[in-house]
Amino acid sequence: MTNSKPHEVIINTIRVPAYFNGEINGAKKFANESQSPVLINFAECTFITVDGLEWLEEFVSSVESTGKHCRFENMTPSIYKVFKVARIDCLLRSCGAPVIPEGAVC
Amino acid sequence: MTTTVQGSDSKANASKLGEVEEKTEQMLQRARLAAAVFTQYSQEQVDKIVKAMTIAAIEAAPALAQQAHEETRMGLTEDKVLKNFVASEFQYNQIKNTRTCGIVKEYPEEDMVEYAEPIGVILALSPVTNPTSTVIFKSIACAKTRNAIVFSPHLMAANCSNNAAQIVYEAGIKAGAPKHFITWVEKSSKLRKETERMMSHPQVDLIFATGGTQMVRTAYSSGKPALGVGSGNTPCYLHKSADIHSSVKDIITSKTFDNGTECPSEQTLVIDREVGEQVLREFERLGCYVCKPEEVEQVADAVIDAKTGGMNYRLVGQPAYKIAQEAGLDVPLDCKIVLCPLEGELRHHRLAVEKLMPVLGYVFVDSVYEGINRSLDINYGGGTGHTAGVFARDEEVISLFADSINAGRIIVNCPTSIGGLGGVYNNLNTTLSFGCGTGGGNITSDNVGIKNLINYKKVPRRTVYDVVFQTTNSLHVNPGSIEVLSHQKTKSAVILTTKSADKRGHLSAVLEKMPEDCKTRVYDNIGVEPDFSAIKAAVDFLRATKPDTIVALGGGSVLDAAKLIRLFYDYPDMDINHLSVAFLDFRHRIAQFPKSNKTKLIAIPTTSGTGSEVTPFAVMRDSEKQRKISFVDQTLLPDIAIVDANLTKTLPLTITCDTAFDALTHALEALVSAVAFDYTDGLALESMRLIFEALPMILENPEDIVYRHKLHHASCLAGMAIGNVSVGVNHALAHSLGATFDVSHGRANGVFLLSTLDYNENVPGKFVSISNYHTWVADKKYARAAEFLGLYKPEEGKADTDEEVRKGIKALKQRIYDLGRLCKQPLSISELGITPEEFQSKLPILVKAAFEDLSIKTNPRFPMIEEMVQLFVSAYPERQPPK
Repeated sequence: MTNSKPHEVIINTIRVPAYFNGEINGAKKFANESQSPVLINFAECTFITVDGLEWLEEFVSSVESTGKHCRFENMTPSIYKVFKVARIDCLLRSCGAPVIPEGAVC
Repeated sequence: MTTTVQGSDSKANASKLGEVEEKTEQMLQRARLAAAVFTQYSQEQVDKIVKAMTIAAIEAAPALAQQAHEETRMGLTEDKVLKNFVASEFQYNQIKNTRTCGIVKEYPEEDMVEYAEPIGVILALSPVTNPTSTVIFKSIACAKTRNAIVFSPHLMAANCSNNAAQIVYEAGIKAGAPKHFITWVEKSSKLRKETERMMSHPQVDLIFATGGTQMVRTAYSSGKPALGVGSGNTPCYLHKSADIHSSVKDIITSKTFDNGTECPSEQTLVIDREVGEQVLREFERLGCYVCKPEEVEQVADAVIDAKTGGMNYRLVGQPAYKIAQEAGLDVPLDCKIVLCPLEGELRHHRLAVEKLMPVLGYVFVDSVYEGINRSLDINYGGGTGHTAGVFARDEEVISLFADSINAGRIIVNCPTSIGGLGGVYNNLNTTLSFGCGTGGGNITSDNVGIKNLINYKKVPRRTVYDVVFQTTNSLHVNPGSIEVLSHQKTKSAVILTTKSADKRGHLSAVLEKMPEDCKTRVYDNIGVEPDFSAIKAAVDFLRATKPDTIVALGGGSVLDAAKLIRLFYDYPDMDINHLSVAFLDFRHRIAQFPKSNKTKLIAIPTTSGTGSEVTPFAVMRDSEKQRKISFVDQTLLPDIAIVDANLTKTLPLTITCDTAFDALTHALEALVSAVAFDYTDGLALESMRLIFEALPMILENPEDIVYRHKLHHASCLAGMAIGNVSVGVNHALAHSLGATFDVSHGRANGVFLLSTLDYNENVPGKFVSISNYHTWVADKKYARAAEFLGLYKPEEGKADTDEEVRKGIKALKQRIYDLGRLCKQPLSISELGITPEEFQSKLPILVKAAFEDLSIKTNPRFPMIEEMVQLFVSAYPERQPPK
């Protein structure tokens, strides 16, 4: 996790580990103290488990309940695809992806 | 934890749901996450999981079989053990080396690979007849294909099915599978309703339905993609050529397997009468009971549900003794099968339906046809697309049976039930789900397995076609080269020519050079632009004289005609209509030309225009439809071309100019052809240079052999270029105009030249849709030609800028215009003397014919119909100097 203060804009970055199996120590506290958007960096992440997905969903929901939002950054296509297949709205919002409507769209 | 379903609020929904429904929601959401996580797995990780699950299933096979039997009271524990092994060990053996992650198949010859994409969440129904083996089978198949699976068991077998699911799930988790990759609906009174609700749930991607007909129908009507299976009614034809003893043993093995619960098992035997009694005695010898005719109704009363006309589900999977007892028959306790003669109209017999129990119908037949027809009666009587069996040594009988019967699996000389499972008696894919094709209302007729649980992503690479440069084998190009005729090995030759060849002295010059021992005849009836009747007349002449060599002496029409005359002389059965069928892509065309020629063709051009002596084209007039038909094939190429400029010295200037403009059109169109390549570019450029140099000199001194020689070469070089990369829209316009107004080909080409340059120099409204056309460079190529011809010099370092390119094109157009005017060549349609009224009245015909012309396919700009109209219209007024 890094915290810098360039030009009076606070940048919050939570780094997701390579094998993400849920719970990033101190993340919730960090998010509480940070301004929006809370940046979550996936540059090192190569694998997410079901527990990891569930934790992320809970974390993002909790951040959003405070009026802030999260932004996922540096996702590999493999990780981004996990979010796409999982179809969890709040995670897709954090990816900046449009929410996919139900059913096929041409 | 809560997971939001796309487009809905799951928390709000959940609050409205009951406990069972809420559990289902949660289960499907978890399965969704498991499917998402599964996408990250490698082949190695997947294979490790699959192996662990298989081992767990094998270890639990006997216990699960016993539990299934105890819960369902159907079938035999011992056979259910075997089914569990088939679902685990046999399936594993078949799939262990199959790739299901990343690239799963390569097609090197097609330059294409296939990637696997998991399906996602699969809702699987498991049946009461195979409650544990089906769960094992589907779980392992889904793990191998990285799908999450949710089981909805049959209510009467829920405990054993769910136990099987739990055993393989735990083994998978220990080996690293994603949490919740297998889940199952607990037994409850709401199970069926919940199953139906899940079938249309947005989290479910596919329904894998194996079960009762009603459940499969519900799956299909859910609106979800579904892999369902149809009902069976397996006919089994026992032909007289079969080994009776082994056949009967196999049928008993099959029909008694799990007390007949396997849907591919035999339902009605169709037996050749000649061996009928022998077959029945063998059944009896091996412990089966053959009913007397009067007992059949009793059996039918017990076995068939009077209300539905289908089998009595109470007796499914029950032993033969119990069924016989229900029917009031006295049979031994160890009776294996009850066989019933099905007398009367088979199609209406109550027992001619599926009976998943050890009861078999049988009929005798008197011929192979009757045997197969009665089998078809059973096949189409409720089992279309499922399974059929045949016992025979006669391969023709097996082949006729297989060709006639509509079944996804036609089992030969082995038990249909275990044979249908695959992997035991044959190399069919192991399965417990039998696709029945459309006959059974299914999307597949496969033994459903892992290949049906993957989305295949094909990744084709752009096709790179072999670029070949081809031309006439031997070219003799010096003035005086007709001398080579005297060295030809020919005993009998025909010279194809026109009457004018005699007048211009060409014919005598050629005759003089023919070998002394060659019997040479002359056919001089080739008119200007001959039609098929003229071709046929010449072919008839050749058939009467039987030459081994054809000498074509004349202009483009004669040379083109000679190519076709040789073709139809060598191959009288060729159909001209088939050979001239239009094509989008030369490589995929319908026309099939012969691979070689029998008769030698020597082409001697006497004009310098078409280059026909080196092209694989022939154009023929279609008198009936007032059009020109093009033929294209390498076999049309002459064997020898003699490009002797001496033969052009006396060519009238008008024809010289017309034909030279034809050659110039060839060079310009080949240069910018959509399939042009370096070899043809060089030929086209040099051809242009020679024309611009020689034609003005010939106008001054028509018999100057040096410039005649250069012009003759220019024609031949341009011919080689178009022979490999074809022409363009200019030719389409000219063919149309020429056929409609009877204008010579070269002259017609000339009137459009500047219009097509105007057209092609601009960025196309539509590009040519052919695969090997990489970039649009027509404008730059025109400019490059102008530079090559010394007509302009681009500013250094700016040759490719738009401004410089425009300058180059203008210079080229100016040069063409100047040459045209110098030659007094018509450069527009009106300059041909065609009145505006004539032109306007024929415009629709002109456009239609031009649009259908093959030449447009290689033009760098694909002409839309409206553009074609504009091309004609813009070519009508008197041509003004280029701006």
